[in-house]
Amino acid sequence: MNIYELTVEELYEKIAQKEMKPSEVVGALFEDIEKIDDTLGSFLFVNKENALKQAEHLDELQAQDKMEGELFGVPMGIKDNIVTKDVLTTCASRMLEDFHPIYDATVMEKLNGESSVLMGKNNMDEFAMGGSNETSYFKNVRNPWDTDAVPGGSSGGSAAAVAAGLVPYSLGSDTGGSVRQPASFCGVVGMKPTYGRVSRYGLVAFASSLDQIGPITRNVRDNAKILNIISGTNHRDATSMPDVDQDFLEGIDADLSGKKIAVPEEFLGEGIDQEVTDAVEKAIKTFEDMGATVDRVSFPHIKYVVSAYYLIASSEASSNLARFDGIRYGYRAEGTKTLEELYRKTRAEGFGEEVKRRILLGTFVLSAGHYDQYYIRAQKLRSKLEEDMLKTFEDYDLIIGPTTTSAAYDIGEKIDDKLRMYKDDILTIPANLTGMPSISIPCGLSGKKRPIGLQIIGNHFEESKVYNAAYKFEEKYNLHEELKEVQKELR
Amino acid sequence: MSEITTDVVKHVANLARIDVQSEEKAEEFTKELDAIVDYAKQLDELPLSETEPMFHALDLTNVMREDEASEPLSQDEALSNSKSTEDGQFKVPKML
Repeated sequence: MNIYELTVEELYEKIAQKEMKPSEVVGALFEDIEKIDDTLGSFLFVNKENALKQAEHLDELQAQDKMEGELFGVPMGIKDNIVTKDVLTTCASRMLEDFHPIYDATVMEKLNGESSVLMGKNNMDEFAMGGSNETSYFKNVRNPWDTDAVPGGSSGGSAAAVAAGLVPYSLGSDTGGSVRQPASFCGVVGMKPTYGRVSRYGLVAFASSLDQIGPITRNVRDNAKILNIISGTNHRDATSMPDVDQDFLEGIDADLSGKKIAVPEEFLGEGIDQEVTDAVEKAIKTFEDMGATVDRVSFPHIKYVVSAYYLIASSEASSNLARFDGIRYGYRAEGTKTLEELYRKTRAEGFGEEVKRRILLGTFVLSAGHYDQYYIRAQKLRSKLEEDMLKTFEDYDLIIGPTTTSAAYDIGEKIDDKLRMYKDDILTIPANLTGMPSISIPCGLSGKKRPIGLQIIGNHFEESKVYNAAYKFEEKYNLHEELKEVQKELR
Repeated sequence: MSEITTDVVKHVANLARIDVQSEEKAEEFTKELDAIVDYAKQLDELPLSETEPMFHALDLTNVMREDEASEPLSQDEALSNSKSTEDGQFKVPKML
């Protein structure tokens, strides 16, 4: 048995049963990180000294039978846009190259409270803007299945680290698909919860009305377990919804017979690779075999969602990123004579090209004369889309389709065509614009042996239904054995 | 053609307080933003005059908390990530 293959639940059990010490688990995974992460690039900072110290402390508690916490001794990776007290948090940007937060994000307080061990901070696209992890200021991430391929983004480091067995789980953030798309490319499970399910306090804001933190794991049960822990209301985030005290593991294995599932025909049409369509058609058949009814529906507004998303997300980003002015924290340009010059030079030198592009787009959209034409129309499209989807949920339990238009592509293949990359987000954006929960789980392999993801979307606050369908599907199809081969190969 | 020109890009960059750095960069941004804005014009073909904009995914109401004093950040902590401080304050170049 290899430690890197163990899931969150398995690690927790083995430590609780005293078959393993926390320091053994943590030590083994650091060895793996040192051995293979030079190739993968999934970590920006390795928290070795702190983690080993914490693990030794947990060893003592284990010996004294004082183990407390639902993740006692279980290692974690965290996307580098979630703030960790005194631990470097860069958002993969030069702007925050040496930023040491003075507080913990709410999700960190919760995970630390369960005695999980922070192994390090995961690489990402700069300020979560990108879909291939190629906009990171520091380095690219490679896909564990094929190191020529991108891992997806923006939570590319999180997905790659989980797939490679460097951590059993990681948190990502999802504004337009940034948890689900890399989970799909790396053959793991990624959940974007309902907007408001998880407190965003301590998540460096990109687009505040769309951002949501979500778990990335190697199986569905682990994912539900982590969401159980990180969800809940919080007085520091006024958009976090009141606790409904839900256990997402309860009823996760319920029978699917009688469930009604909708498949938008736009999700399997033009612009989607044939091998993706084929894998999803097979998945549809699997759901039918399990007793669910699957019908085709139409979402006529899907073709407009990329436009609406980039107008809205960039507008919110231009406002949120105004705080990076070089004064209170972050990069500060040298040799400037006036405050104005300090702002302009700091922001020109501290932000990368993709971030600047989106700030400029957002500033344009919000500027006088363009606000009504672009920003308001985009928000109206959002209403139309929600109408379509809420109407569907009157008759159906879930909506399914592919997570991405293709399997992972090669590093460098698309980065020069911005609009083409933006258009790739068409399948994941609807859940963000409407705030609905959505998961990606593996449903196939491409001809090049790169994973294909199935997306399952639920109505607001119906994560339980989403997890139930995902779990039952995973029993019929998963990439667990293939992933172990990938992990072995890397070592 | 959309309304994005290098002059528009320079104007917007000025509003966003970002140096464009070179004429070459301004032209690059112009080309890229033009393609995106041009694409987004597809929204013009939809009849949306009767539709309300949706600014947020959830129906939210103001949430009030008790007005109780709590421990604030210390001055040292608040200044700890700044590149330039003096006498417990952030230090910046002259404003005028």
